[in-house]
Amino acid sequence: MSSRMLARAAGVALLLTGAFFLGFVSQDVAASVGEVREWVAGLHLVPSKIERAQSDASTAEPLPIVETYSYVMDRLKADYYPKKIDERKTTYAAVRGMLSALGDPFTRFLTPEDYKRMREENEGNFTGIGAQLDTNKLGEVYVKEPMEESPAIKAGVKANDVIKEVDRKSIKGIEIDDVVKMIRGPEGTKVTLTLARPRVTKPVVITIVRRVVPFQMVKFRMLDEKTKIGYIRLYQFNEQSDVQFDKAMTSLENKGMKGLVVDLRGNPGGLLQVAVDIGSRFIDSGAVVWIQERKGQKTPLNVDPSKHNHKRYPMSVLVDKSSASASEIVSGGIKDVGAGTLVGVTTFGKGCVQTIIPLQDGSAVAITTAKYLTAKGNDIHKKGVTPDVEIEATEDFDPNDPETDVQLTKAVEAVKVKMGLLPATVLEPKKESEKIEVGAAGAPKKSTD
Amino acid sequence: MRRQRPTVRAGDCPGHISSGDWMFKERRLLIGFLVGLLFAVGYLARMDLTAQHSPSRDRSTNRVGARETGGKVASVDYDSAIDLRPAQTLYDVLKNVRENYVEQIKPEDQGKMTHTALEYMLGSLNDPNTRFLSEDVRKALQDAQRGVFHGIGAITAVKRITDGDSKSEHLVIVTTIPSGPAEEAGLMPGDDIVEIDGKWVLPFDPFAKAAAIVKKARANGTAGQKLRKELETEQKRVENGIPIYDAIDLLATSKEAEVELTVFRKGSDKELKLKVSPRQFQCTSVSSSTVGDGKFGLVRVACFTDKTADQFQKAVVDMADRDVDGLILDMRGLAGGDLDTVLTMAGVFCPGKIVSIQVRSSSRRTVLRAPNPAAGVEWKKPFVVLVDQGTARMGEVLAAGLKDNRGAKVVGAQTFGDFGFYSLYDLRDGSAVAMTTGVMLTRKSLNLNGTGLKVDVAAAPASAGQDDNALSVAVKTLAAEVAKS
Repeated sequence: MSSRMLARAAGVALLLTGAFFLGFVSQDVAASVGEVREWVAGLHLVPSKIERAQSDASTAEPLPIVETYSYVMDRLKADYYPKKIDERKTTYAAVRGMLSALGDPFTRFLTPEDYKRMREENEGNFTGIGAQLDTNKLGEVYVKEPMEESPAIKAGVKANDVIKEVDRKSIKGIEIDDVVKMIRGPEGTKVTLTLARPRVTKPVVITIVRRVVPFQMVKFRMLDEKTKIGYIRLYQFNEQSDVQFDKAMTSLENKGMKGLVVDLRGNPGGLLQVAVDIGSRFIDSGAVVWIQERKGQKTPLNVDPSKHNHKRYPMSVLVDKSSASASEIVSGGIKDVGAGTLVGVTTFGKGCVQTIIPLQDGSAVAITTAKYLTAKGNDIHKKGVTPDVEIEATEDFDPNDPETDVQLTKAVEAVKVKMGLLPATVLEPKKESEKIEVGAAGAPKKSTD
Repeated sequence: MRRQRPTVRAGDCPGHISSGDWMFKERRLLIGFLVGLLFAVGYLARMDLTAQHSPSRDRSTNRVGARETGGKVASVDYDSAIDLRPAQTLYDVLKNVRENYVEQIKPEDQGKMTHTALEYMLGSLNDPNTRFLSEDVRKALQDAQRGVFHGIGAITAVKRITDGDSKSEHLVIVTTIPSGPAEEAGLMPGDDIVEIDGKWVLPFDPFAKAAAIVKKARANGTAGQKLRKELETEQKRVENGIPIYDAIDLLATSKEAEVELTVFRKGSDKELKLKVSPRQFQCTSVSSSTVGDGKFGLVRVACFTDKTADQFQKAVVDMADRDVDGLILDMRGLAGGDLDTVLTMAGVFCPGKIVSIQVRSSSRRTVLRAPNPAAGVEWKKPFVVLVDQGTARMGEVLAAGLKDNRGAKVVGAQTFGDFGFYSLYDLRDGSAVAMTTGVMLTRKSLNLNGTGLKVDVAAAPASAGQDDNALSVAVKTLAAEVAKS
């Protein structure tokens, strides 16, 4: 009897709390149906109500930014219907709008997430397993290359392993960026990958401890064992770049390097100080770059002699239209002092320096605070650095196949010229193109022939 | 056994009690009552919570803000307490730009920065009616209040249309303003404006289509040349495009001699190209005549201006003087309108009655009653209301109010379905901010926003060169109403 009573009481109680709950979550009629399907938007429409926003009489004075923003934000918070506005998101949009009026794409706002990513990039570290991922033709996420010395390679992850599960959760249909997020995590924690390995029937399950992994900013190899021409590619200028560049030089020297190709193609730049560090390796003395702030005076950032820890070699530098900023400081400096031959196409042309200013809510603002001039005072903004030997990449260029890289071939020739192995004439523009030029410009001359 | 906990489900009834059925019934009534009561309590608790929520948050953050800015806590009045942190971010960015930007910020730059800040800020809400209006656009609106129109003379809508896998916003003609260029050029309600002078009208997310292409390619495993071409085409389209807001402004203010519109029209498989010559023109707000052999009055309201209410009252009085038996109120294509105008018009038919209930943010409700008109203006005889899909906003509110209060028959086609309330805030320098600030419910608290008002008698619009079919239907309906009374 008493258990029956209890049952009834419990049933009633559930019913009642259920009712409370339903009442609690039930939406306003207006709020739930108010999701507008479409909007009349023509400007011929007289508004329902007109309010004189700011009490003062109208004026030709420009509207003050902060005051106007505050007024509109207050109105949004008090009157906007039906959604509650996300004040932070809306403010960030206002900040972006405000900066857009300057017409400088490099002066920009960074949300806390953007800023975090940028710091990570500048430090050149991340915590994860150290494997480069990509999607294959089937849309599967696979390991393109596990990085050297990385937790991934130590745990036995191999190139071409297809990732099926992360921590036993299928990643089917998940975008690669989100898979990367799933794999990353705090240092010392573990992540379990289920991998499909080519020619292995059973899935391979590997648990990896996440560690701080430096980004690989530098790739290097000896291009030719006979001539001993070394090759160093620099992907970005961050806190790891100079250390890794130094290591690459040492390693190539140990193999008997006699000439060098430095590849800055696709390098978007990075930290100014790192550009000075790497530039110092190729410039004897004086300025690597000149900084010019609003007031107009120029300040040199001078060569750091402690970076002269390697021999100098006959050198060429590869550049293209995506070599920007720090890449242009270094390549422009090398060109100015004649430390190497520039090969490729004219660079991007970004001759300004941004200062990143962190704000109290975790966001930051990048502000163009100065222009810079190259070592010998050349302004390259919107002009770029013109290479000594101009050569475009061909249509069939495949980044994985050096055979198709005509720019690299030319850069090697430039080094060989410096080493005295080839005559300087190989670097002159091809005869055919010369003929076409003459033909086009000097048709009358041709008729006299 | 007794200690064992029984498992029960909600609504489990002790059905095995056979005796005392009467008692049980009463108890059930009691439970039912309690359920209802608690539902109400829960509902109210939520309302309370939403009302209480923000002030308590503001209080704590305000302190943080105050400490950081070195000020003191301004006020304990929660309504005026503000979260200072986002404002602080904006302020800090501005301060740093002023001090450190490579070029000196000039005073005239500041006005421009304010405008773009508001543009982005309001644009981030993705609501076409909540936006910044430049001085030019604001002036066009002021002229519209006087019945002077610019541009192509069409009322447009931003419509979210499902297009394959993705949804995107389209610019659609709702109605053309009588004797305007759009009407003359043959633009029709429902025309989807794809391009203006060869520029693609961009949806809110112009790269949505590109993203869809990439996703599809990834799923199918196709890549390479073809995909790259497709993406390049898409990129060019976006780069050469015109944002939907700018398109709206352009159509409403253009002073060009001619614009070419590429439109997609339902029922035709090809896109049409129409040339429209924007100009300034006048719209006659109220016109009247008699129909049905002089037995009935026809009052047409074509657009809302600041004179509409007066002109409308005069037209109705004029009809009363002519002693017609009934009135047709033609509100086809009537969109926009301010609240006072509409309430005054409603006062002619149902003085003192509730026309609409305005709901604003945090569920504030205002009951809106029609005012009493001057002596002799009230219309007591039968009347019908003529509407179509171009009847929008206050036009719809009025039609719904007249139907609810006077049982007026609504003839034509279902209305557009925009019962939003829109406020305009003028700024000192001649620009303005437009904002959605509420929704207008019907007298019976129905929300027709997004659906529109249904008609009592449907009537297809006349095709070109034919008699006004909807008007004939309205006359017949009115005749029946007059016969009944």
